[in-house]
Amino acid sequence: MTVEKVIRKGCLLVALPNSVDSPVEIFELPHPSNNESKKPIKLFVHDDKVYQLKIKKFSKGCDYNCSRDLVNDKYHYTSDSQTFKSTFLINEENRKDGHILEDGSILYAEKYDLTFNICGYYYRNNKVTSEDLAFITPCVPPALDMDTNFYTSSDYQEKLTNNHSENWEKIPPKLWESCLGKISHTVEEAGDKYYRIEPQMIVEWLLKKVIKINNNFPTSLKIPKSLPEDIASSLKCIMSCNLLVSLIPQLAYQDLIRHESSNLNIKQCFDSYDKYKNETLQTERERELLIKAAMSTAIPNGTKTVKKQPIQKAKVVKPKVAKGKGRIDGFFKTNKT
Amino acid sequence: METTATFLPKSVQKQCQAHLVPCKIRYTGQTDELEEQFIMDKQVISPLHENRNVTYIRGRKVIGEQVVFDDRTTYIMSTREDDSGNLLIEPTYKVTEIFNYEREGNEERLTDEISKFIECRELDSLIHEG
Repeated sequence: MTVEKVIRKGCLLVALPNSVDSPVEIFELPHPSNNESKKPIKLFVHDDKVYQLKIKKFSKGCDYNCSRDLVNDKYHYTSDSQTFKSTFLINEENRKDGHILEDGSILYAEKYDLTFNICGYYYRNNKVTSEDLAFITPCVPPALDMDTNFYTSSDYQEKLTNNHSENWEKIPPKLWESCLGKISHTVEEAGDKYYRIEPQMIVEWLLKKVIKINNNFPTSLKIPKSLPEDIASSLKCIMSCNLLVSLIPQLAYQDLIRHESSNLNIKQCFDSYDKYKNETLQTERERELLIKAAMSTAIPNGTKTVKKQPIQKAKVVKPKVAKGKGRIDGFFKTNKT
Repeated sequence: METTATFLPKSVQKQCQAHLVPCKIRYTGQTDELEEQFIMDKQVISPLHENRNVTYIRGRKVIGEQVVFDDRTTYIMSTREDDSGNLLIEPTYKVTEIFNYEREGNEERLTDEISKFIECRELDSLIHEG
């Protein structure tokens, strides 16, 4: 269920920042990944911070584990694909005042870095139809933003309002400027500051995030213990990059994984892990071939049939029984008709 | 003309607990069924159920664990439209605690989902803050 649908439900469970004490308007911006299958995100601004509205549903598996959950029969859903979850509202001081909500989800607000959406604007021509495509370098590179001019912060905001989404005007200037500054080359002239978004700055900004994730890596994501230490740390770096893939455009991800820096050499991590994977595959193939070869020596080849040595049976000489002419001697004789 | 949606926070006197139960009830509204139903079982037999809510829905045992949102205030909000069709979202109850429940035997999933949710929120704050 989308945020829109939950809001339209009429009655909902919402977790808002403690300090929200005045009206806040919810607005949309295009999804920062430029993935056409993803809906715009819902945001609000409070106290010069941006918050994204998200939905949490328990008793529901994530899309990534969908097929595994299906095999394990882990989750069950209603005929209209909803979770088996509803809400009881109980007032402990007056249990007569009870309520039931058919919906069992929580709408909650989480801090959001708006720079992701400015990055999405910069790569606005780089659209994809599914997340898997982010991992592939496009055959025909899409046209990038060719505008090399520097703009003041307010001019840049106006540019995005006119060319990307009119909701950009809802961002307070101070907040907008701090987000724009993270991925822009800036020059100062006559006391004014001018900005130009640059892909190199986007990569540097993303790198800081990758380092943060890498240093505080989620414990539920397991790195195989069988891997050599250097390969395990490379895989950790790769997974840290991949945790950002749903938030950034395809080309930004491709630039990120080719980035080399003294803090964290992402390209080297990808290369060494790929090399290790290929080597392991090669060793695996060779082992399989050896096993096949070993097995084929025991099995006769189809074209060369080995002739069986005839087993000579020892002739058993049966002793002759004397024929008599008693009554019983003719008993087994066939009757001639 | 495009319509807007706005949270209108205000202080609310009424308080309640929210219990996310593992069944689908095709009803939204008031009920007096909870007056004598859904009472917490204080006699915890299994060590697996210590510090957890234990109760019954139609005779089936359910186990609940608290879902904590740090730095957040939780409300039950209702929505209405103004004359221009704009959506206004206002609090009706302040939610003191949220509990998520699973049927007995599904305790592992209960713990797993809550711990992954906490981890997901920590990851979000790593990505979006600073």
